[in-house]
Amino acid sequence: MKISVPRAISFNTLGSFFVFLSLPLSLSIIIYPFINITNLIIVLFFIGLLIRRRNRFITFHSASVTRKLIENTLGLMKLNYTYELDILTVNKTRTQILIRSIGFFTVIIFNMIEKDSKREKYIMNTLIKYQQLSSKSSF
Amino acid sequence: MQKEKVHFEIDINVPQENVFDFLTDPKNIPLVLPGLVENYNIPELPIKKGSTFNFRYQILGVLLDGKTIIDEIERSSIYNFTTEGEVDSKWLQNMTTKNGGTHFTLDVEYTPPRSWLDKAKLTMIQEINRRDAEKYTKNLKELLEMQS
Repeated sequence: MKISVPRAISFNTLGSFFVFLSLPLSLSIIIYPFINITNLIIVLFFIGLLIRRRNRFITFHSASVTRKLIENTLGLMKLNYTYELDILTVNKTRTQILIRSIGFFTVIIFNMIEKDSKREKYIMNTLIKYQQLSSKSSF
Repeated sequence: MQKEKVHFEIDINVPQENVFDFLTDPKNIPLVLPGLVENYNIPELPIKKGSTFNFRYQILGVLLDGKTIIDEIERSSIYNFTTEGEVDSKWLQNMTTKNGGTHFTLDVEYTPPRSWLDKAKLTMIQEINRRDAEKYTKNLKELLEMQS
């Protein structure tokens, strides 16, 4: 058995992690009052709240690899798309996908046209799932 | 050993042949089955009774490898297979024409490996598998209807 290491994490998960991490850290002030970690807790809590947004993901490969994986997946799904001004648009649903490079990471932002559209949510989940795949045999 | 069963059915607004062609190409399945990471060592298409290929499935962050064996395949209506390895399961998939579209039925019978049972509650695994099977049918509908 092998443990799977995620290559794409949603901002929602990351933000929640920071927020919840700040809670046990707060308790540690009571236990270890001589350690000044108040600033760290405040920073973590507010970073967590700030980045907790749906439809945003962080991947651990370059923007070009991220874009290539998205295009390959859309090809596999037989969904047409256009690429203009750094925005990839899925023709069928008009969902826009922005890919932004931030240092060693890449951020993927999905701009949904409809609220709670099952199709758009399915496209987003599938594109993120395929960001995790490194094997070329999947395409 | 205890066996678990999952049953789902759904109407898909595309012709029966489209559903069958999609399902019988193993490289398509990770697009609709959330826990399936990949199918590999896929033989030349079309696959037939007795064809085999390998799969990698992820559950609770653990990757499980195994082999799929095609038990029964009948153009446009039946596609049944069993999986062996760390996950033993039997998949029965039936397609019939309904109002110009397809009525798709899925029955999955699986045996949770003992090692999982040691680590996690059976009910949790049952829920994950039930959710995966439900998403499989719904994703199949979404994707094929978008493609048409």
